Amino acid sequence: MMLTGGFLLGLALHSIWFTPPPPGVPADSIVFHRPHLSLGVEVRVLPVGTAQDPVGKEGTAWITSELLRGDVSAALTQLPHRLEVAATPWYTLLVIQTAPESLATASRLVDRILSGPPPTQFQLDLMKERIIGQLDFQEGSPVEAFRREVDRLLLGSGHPGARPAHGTVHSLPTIDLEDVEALWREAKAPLIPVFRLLPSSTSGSKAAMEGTPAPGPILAPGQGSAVAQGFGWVNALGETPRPLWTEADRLRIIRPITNGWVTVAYPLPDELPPGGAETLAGVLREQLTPSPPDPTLFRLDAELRDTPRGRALLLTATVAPDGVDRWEGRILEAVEKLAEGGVPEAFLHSLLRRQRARSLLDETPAAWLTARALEALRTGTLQGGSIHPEAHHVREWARALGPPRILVYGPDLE
Amino acid sequence: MHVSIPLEEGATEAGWGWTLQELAVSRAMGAVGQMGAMIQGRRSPWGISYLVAGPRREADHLGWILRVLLEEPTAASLDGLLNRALERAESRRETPDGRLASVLLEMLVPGALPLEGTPESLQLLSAGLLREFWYRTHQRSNMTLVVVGDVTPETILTLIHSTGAPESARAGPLDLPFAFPSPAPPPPPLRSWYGEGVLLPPATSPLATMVARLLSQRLEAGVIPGEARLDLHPLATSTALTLRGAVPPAREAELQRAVEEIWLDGATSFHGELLEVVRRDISLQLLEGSATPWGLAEQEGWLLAAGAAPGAVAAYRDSLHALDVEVVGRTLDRLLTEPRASWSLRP
Repeated sequence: MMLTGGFLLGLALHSIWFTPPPPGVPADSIVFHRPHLSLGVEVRVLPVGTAQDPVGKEGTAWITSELLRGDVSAALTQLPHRLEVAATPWYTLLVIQTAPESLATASRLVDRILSGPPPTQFQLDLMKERIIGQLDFQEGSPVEAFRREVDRLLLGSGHPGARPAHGTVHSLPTIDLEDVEALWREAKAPLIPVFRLLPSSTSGSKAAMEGTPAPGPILAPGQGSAVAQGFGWVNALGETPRPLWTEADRLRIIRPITNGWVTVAYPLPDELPPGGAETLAGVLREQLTPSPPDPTLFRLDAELRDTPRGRALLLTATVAPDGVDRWEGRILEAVEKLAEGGVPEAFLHSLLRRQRARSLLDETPAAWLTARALEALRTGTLQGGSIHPEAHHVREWARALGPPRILVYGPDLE
Repeated sequence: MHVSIPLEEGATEAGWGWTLQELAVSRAMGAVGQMGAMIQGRRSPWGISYLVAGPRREADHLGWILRVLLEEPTAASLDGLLNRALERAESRRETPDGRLASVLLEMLVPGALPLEGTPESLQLLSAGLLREFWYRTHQRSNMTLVVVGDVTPETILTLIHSTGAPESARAGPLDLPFAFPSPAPPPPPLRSWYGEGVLLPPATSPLATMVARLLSQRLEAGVIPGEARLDLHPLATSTALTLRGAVPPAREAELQRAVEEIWLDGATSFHGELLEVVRRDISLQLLEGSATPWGLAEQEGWLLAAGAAPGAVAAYRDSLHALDVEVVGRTLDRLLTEPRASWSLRP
C-alpha cells in the first residue's frame, strides 16, 4: 500500500480559526480560516426582506434582490465564481464563492455596486416583465399555494412575512423605481458584519489568526452597537414577544389536487445550544424516513424557519392523498416518543449517528459559513464550537418543543 | 479516504474490473447500515477506485467499510449484476450511437476495450474467475490511498491492514485463450449516423477538457442538424474526443458538412476572451470539487491513478492557468488539419 502526499493536503482540514472584532469596535467583517481550503467564500446578510414590502407593492424586495443578482453577476464575470442571492421575508442573503485570491476583488466589486447608482427604469421594467411571466406560469401551482399556507400557519395570515414574496400580477406593475432605489440604498449596510471564509495560507491572514479572542457579541457594522437578536429593522415592526405561539392548532385545507401535504410545526425554545435544533431536525428526519420506503410517502422534509419571534421546526410529509392522516399521526407520534423516551436507546444512537454523518456530508464551505452568519444574525453573538450531542440531549430538546401547529393540505377523499 | 487499484484487462476480461467494483459497492452499502457514510465506486481507464467519507469519530467504521470494499468477492448478487451488465453491453452494440462510439474508439486506439465489458467477456465470467481476477489485481503494494482529514497515517494503516488482499501477486491481463465467436450483425439504423474522433492529451492535462468545452460551445449553438453529441473518453494514456450526430438519410451530407464546420469554427473563431471564459468555468468546477475533504480526496486520487505526482490537484490547477492562446490554438488547428477518425452508419 502506497501512502501519498494526500495526507499532507488535508491534515486538520476541519480546524477552524475565526477572528471576531475586539469588543466595542464596530466590525465590517469576521474572517474564518480553514487550512487547505480551495475556495474563498463571502456571506452578506442585507436588510432587504420581502416582509418590508408596502401593502399593494408586494414583490419590491424580491425585484430588488433579483436586480442586485444581475448587477453583481455582471461585475464578477471576469472571475471564476458562483453567486447566490436569496430574498427571504427578513433579509437578503448574498453568497459568493470564488478562488481565495479573487475574494477581495469580488468583495470590492460588490461594495462598488451597492454604493453605486441603482438600477435603471429599463432594467426594472425588464425584471418586472420576467417575474410576471414566471407568476403566470406558476398560477394555480399547488406547491406555491401550500407554501403560502405554511407561512400563514407560522406567522398568522395578516403578517407581512406571509404575503406573496414574489408579488402578484397586480402588485408588480405598481412598483416604481423610487421603491427599488430606497431598498437599494438600505442594502449598502448589512445587518451583521460580512462573514468570510478563507484558506489559512492566504497572504495576510496569518496575523488575523493570532490572538483569537473568545466568541461573544458581535456589533452591527458602522453602528457600534451589538446586533440586537438579529433581524435589525424587523424588530421595528412591533413583533409580539416570544414564543412564536403557545397553543396547539390544526388547520385542514381541501383543494382539488392529486397529492397531499402535512406540516407539523413546533416552536423551538431559545435556549438550545448551537447546532441543537439542526441535530433534532436531522434525527427526526431520519426517524421518519422508513426503510424500506413507505409507498405513500413521496418526500419528508425537516426544516428550521427563523422568524423575528423565534425559531420553528417544520416536519413536512409529501404523501399520496390516502396517506395524509396516517402521516400526520406518525409525525406527532415520532416527536412524542422521542421526548418521552419511547425510542429505544440503541435505535436513537443509530439515528444520531446517521444524522451526524449526513449533516457533515451535506455541509459545503458555503453552507457552513452561511449557517454561522445566520446564527450570528439570530442570536447577536458569534457562537463557539457546537457540542457533540448525545441521545439524552436529543430527548431533552424534543421535550422542550412547544405545542404543534398542524396544516393538512390535500384533496377531499369523501 | 480514496483508494485506487490499478487494473489491466485483457480482451477476455473486459468488464470484470467494473463487475468487481459494482459488487464491492453493493457489499459496502449493506455494511454501512445505520451509519450514513458516503461510499462511491468508480471504474476508470486506470483501474478501480473507491471513496469512503464520514465523520472523524467514525474512523474505525470507515476503515472497516474500506476493508469490505477491498475484500475478496463472493458469488452473492453476481448473477443479477451480470445480467444487467450484459443487457447494457448488448444495448451498446445494438444502438447506432453505441456502435458509432465503439468503432471510433477502436479506430483511434486499436484494442481499446469498453470498461463495462463486452457481451462475450461478461458471459464468460464466473464466481471462480472473478475471485482469481481479484487475487491477481488487488495487490496491496499497488494500491494508492489518499486521505483528507485529521487522522494520522499510522491510524489509517491500522484501520486497513487486514483487507485480505495479497501483498503482491502477478500483474497484467490474464489473456485467457478463449476465442469469442463473431457477434451477430446488429439491426440497421433508421437514420444516418456520422461521427468523427480525435486523440487529445491524457486526463492529467487540462487541455482535453479545454478543447471539449470550446467545441461544445459550437455544438450548443445548434450548428449540427438533428441529434448531436460530443463526448470525452478518458483512456489509459490519452483522451479520445468523439463528435457524433444523426439525421434523416436525405440530410447525411449536411450532417457531415456541419461536423466539419465544428472543427473549422473551433480553430478559426478561437480567441483569448473565449479561452478565459472557459478557463473560468473549468477553474470554478475544480475549486468547488475540491472544497470538501471527500471532493479533494477524489480529485487527488483520480489524478494520481492517472499517473500524476502527489499534489496533483494543485498541479492541474497550475496547468490550467498556464494554458495560453497559442497552445490551445495550435491544438485546435491540429484537430482541423490532421486526419481524424470518421465513420458512418446508414439505414
